[in-house]
This record gives sequence, structure tokens and C-alpha cells, in this order.
Amino acid sequence: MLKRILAVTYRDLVSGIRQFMVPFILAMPFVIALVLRALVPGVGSTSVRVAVLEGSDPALVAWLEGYAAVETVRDRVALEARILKTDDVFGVVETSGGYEVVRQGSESADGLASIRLLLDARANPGISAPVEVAVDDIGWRMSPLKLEGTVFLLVFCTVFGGMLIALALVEEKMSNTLSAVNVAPLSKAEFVVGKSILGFLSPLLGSVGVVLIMGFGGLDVGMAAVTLCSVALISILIGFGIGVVASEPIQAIASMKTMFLPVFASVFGGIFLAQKWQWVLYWSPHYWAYRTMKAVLLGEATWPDVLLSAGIILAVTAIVFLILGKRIRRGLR
Amino acid sequence: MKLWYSFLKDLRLSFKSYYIYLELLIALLFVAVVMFVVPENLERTMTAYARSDDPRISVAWLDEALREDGLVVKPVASDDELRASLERDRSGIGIRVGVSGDKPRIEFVLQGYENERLRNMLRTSVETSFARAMPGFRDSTTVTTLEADPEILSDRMTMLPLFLAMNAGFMGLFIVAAYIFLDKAEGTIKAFAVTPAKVWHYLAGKLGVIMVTGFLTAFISTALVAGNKAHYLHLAPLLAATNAFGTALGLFIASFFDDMTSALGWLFTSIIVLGMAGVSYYMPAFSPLAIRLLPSYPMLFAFRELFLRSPNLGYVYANVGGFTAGAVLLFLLAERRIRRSLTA
Repeated sequence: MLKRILAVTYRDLVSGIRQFMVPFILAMPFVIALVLRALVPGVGSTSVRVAVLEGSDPALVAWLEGYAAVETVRDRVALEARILKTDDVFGVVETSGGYEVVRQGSESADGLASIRLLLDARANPGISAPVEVAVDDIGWRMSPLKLEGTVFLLVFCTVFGGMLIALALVEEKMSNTLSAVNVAPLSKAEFVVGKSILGFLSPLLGSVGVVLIMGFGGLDVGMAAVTLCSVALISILIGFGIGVVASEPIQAIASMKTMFLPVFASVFGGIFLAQKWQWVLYWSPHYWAYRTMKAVLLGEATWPDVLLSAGIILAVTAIVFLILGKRIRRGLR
Repeated sequence: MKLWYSFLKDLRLSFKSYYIYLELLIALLFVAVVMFVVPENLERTMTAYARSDDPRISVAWLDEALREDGLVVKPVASDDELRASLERDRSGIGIRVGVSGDKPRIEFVLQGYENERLRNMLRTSVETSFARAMPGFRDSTTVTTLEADPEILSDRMTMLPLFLAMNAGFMGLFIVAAYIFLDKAEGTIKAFAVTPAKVWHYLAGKLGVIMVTGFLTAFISTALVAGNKAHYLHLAPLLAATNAFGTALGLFIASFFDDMTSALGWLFTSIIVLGMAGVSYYMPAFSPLAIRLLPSYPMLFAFRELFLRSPNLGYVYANVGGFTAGAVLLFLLAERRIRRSLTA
């Protein structure tokens, strides 16, 4: 039995390598992780952006660079054009009485207030505050973008497996090889398992790369594996469901887009929704995967939490299987 | 005429499959999420966990002082409780008040990932806000506002341009590739070589079908989310141009491959790269050149303009022109490659 299952998997692997699909599915999480890792410091260093005129006092420019990202423009016209662009930039112009702050009008009020206070500080060097102000921290160096981006990538990776299976099944259907299973020395269950292995393993391997590239090497491998495996299962099941229902790739792709919506909604909802509203996401296995993976990456997860999440995910998987199981079996006939 | 018949045939076929209905379902699901799950404006309050090192100084005054800045002050009894609160709430900050020599002292306790600029800004702006009360302090800044009545979109409305750009604008990327490979597999494209219709009629027909789907989903979602706050007259040409660009890009990518599985990787990569403009869309202060060069960047802001009371139509129509030109160029390149592959 194992030999037959692995034969199906090997065939998919060879075909996938030839079509560049398997290397792509394996490489893409690494590439995205590298891009995310490159982006994280840039986003983290973003506070306020300021534009000054050419010929501004170098001491002012050097001083501003201690507080904001500073760029230089040619003249007043260029300054106003720069400010009117879509991103948030404040113009700072030296005047006889002090400074002029030029803004578009839609920037945040906090940004304007901060710039004004900074410039007032520079214009009043002899006046010290009646209060001592200091800044300390608790030593947490991980930026939110790095954490949330990594978790999103890990959850999204599991969706690729389902897509791989869906497209492979549709192509087999169109080339009439799917119905050949009925006359092959291979049971439907063996065929399903064989088809699933690549779709199951590829994103898990990609997840290893993501975790290492993003610098989370010290996490609990067991907890991460349990969580990712359970959510990969549901993605595979949905991939099978789409693969047998869709009669051509266009339907498969449109159906897969419906898979993306709950994934995006679950992760972004988990990130942005206030705690009191998180219950609206409890139906989604991807939400539980996001929540648990975040705790695993932070080293805060416990086995009861991980097993509870995996249990909820598997329960949803069972419900989906009950709904789709008959359709999948009929589609394979 | 041939183009029209090709388009009508493809449109009829697409309504027979469930693809269009799925796209409409996605649009309705998006509307449901936006209208019933996403609040009009996301909560922007931050919690400040405050404690006093000196029994003579209370933290009660901080609440009133910081409320305007969107900070909710929660007193804590000890440094351990402060640290534990910050570890539990990674978006919060800590404040310690006390005395240092003969001066009151305020110490902000951050998480640790904040950069030097942000820390300097915090320190200097708080110092200056206190220094303002000192005699002789001179307010040295004047503010010039270039737009008299700037409009800021609600967080809910801000999501709509993202959906329009990525779904309606780039919807065609995948779907047109799938259409091409399906017809390649069935030999439909080769049949065009022996018909009076040209290959470009066939490709343009596909483009038309995807545009119809894009229009349907875009207008339904916009009408339900934005109501009468959108400029529908200007939305139509922008949608047409961006949809055509996305579809032509998909055609161009598909022209390099023989089947969907081979092309899937590149199509996905394109979508992910184009989606990165969303980071700068939500964080305008982070807009490196590499992201500003992506076609999705101006597309997002062009769609955004059409939800403002007074949109910058020059910017919108500059994008219409640019994306139309891009669509034509990519279409011609794709058509040439596909036509040559038929005769190879």
C-alpha cells in the first residue's frame, strides 16, 4: 500500500519539478520571507518624513535627521509638489521669525504637533523644560511587522498545498487520467493520500525556511508542527473539494480565491480587531492557527492551548469533510 | 464584428460556468466582512500603564493630560506589574513618574523595538510641551496648509480601493491565463489560425469578458459599501484601464508558458509583488522607491481619490492614460508571442 501511495506522490513530484511548480512552491515562502526580512527594518525606521529646501542650514538638516527621515527638494514649487504626493511628508522652511511647516492637510495631527514641538525646541535653546524626560524599554526587540508578517506567511503557506492539489486534480480530470483510478491497482483512498502528500509537505518545508529566515529558530518545533499540520489538513481537504468539483482551471482558480478570503480575514482580523470582537473569527480554523502560531513564535504557547487549537481546527475539518466527502468520492468516480 | 462575436461567445460561455457567480460571491463576502465586521474606524487608543516612584506624585493627572492624544491611562502598583502589562499588551507603553533631584521626572517605558528617531522625538516633544509654560518661550512655527478642506476617509472606506485594485484590477491576471491554457489544451487557439478571425480578436474577447466581471464585482461592492459617496462616472474608465492592464499582464505572462501549472508560480509572484503596495497604502510614511514604482501603487491611490468629495481628477485620468497605454503595449506583445507560437 505504501509503495502505491508513494508511486502517486513520486509521479506528482516528477511532473511538478518538470513544470517548475514544485521548486516554486518550495522556494516562494523563502523568497517572500527574505523580502519581508528586508522590509522590516525599513518599516520600523519610519517615523515622520520631512522635506527641506536646497540651501537650508546644514545644522538644521543634521538636527532634523535625528528625529525624522529628511529629503531635500530644489525649490518651493518642488516642495509643495512633494507634499501633495500621496505619502505623508511635512515641509520645513526657515523663515526670519523661525520656521514654516508646510503640510497638505490630511496628515495625522500627531505628526504635525510633533514637528512643531521639535522646531520650537530648536528655536528656544536657552529654555529648559521644568521636567526631566527619559525613555527606557523592556528589551523587546521584535517589531510587530516581523511577528505578524511571519505568522501570516506561515498560515498562508498552508493554503498553497490545497492549491497545488486542486490544480493537479483539475488537470488530471481534463486529461481523463482521473477516471483511470477506477481501473488502476490503486484504491481511491491510496490515490487521495498519494495526491495529498506533496501538497502537505511542500508548505511545511516552506514554513521551516520562513521560520529560519525570519530568525525564529528557537521555537518549539513540536507545537509548531502540530499547529501547521492541522491547518494544512483543512487546506488539503478544501483543495480536494475544489479539484473534484471544478471542471476546468478557471473555476478552480475562482474557487481558490474564495479560500483566500477567510485566510486574509482571519489573520488581519486577528491583528486589527479589538479583543472584544475577536469572537467573530472563532469559526475560522485559520484564525486559531494564527493565534496559536503567534504564541508559539513568542514562546508563550502551552500544550493545552496548542492541542485545543488543533482540536478546533480538526473539528472544523471534520465538518467540512462531512459536507464535501460525498462530493469528493463522487468526483473521483 | 468578429471581435464582437468572439466576445459574446466567451461571455455566454462564462455565464454557463460558475466562475462569474463565484466572483460575485467573493464581492458579496467582502462587502459582508467590511460592513459587519470592520468598524467604521478602527480603535486607535493606546493604553499607558502608569506608576509613580514617589508617593507625593499621583498618576491621576496623566489621564486628563493624555486622553486627547488617544491614550488611556491605567495605574499599576509596581515595576513588575508595569513590565507584565507591557508584555501582555505589546501595543501599550509604560510611564513612570517620580522626582530626580529637584525636578519632576517622567520616564516612558517602550517595548524595545522602537528606533532612535522615535525615542528622540518622544523625549524632545514632551520636554518642549512642558517648556512652553516657561517664561520667555517663543512659539516659532507657522503652519501653511495647502489643501483647505482635506478629507480623510474612514477606515472602512479605505479598504475599498484595496479590494478594487487587487480584485477588480488584477482579477484578470490569473483568469485570462487559465482561459488561454484551457483553450490551448482543447486546441481552440490553434483553430483561430484557420478562421477569418485574428488571434487578437480572440484575446480581446477574453479581455472583454474579464472586464465585464470586473465591472460587476466592482460596482456591486462599491455601491454597497460607499453608496453615493463614490464618483461612479470616473470609476468606470479607471476600472476599465486597470482591469485591462491586469488582464494584459496575465496574457503576457501566460505567453511564456505551455500550461497553467508552469505559469502559476510567476502569476503568484506577480500578485504578491504587486500586493506589497498595500503596505505603503496603509503606512504612507513608508514609501520606498521600489514600492512607488509598482503599478499597483498609483492604482490604489487613484481608486482612493474617487471616494473623496473633491477627487484629483487629473491624477485619476493620468492613471487611466498610463494603464491604458500599458495595457495596449502588453497586449500587443502577448498577441505577437501567442500568434508566433501557433505558427512555430
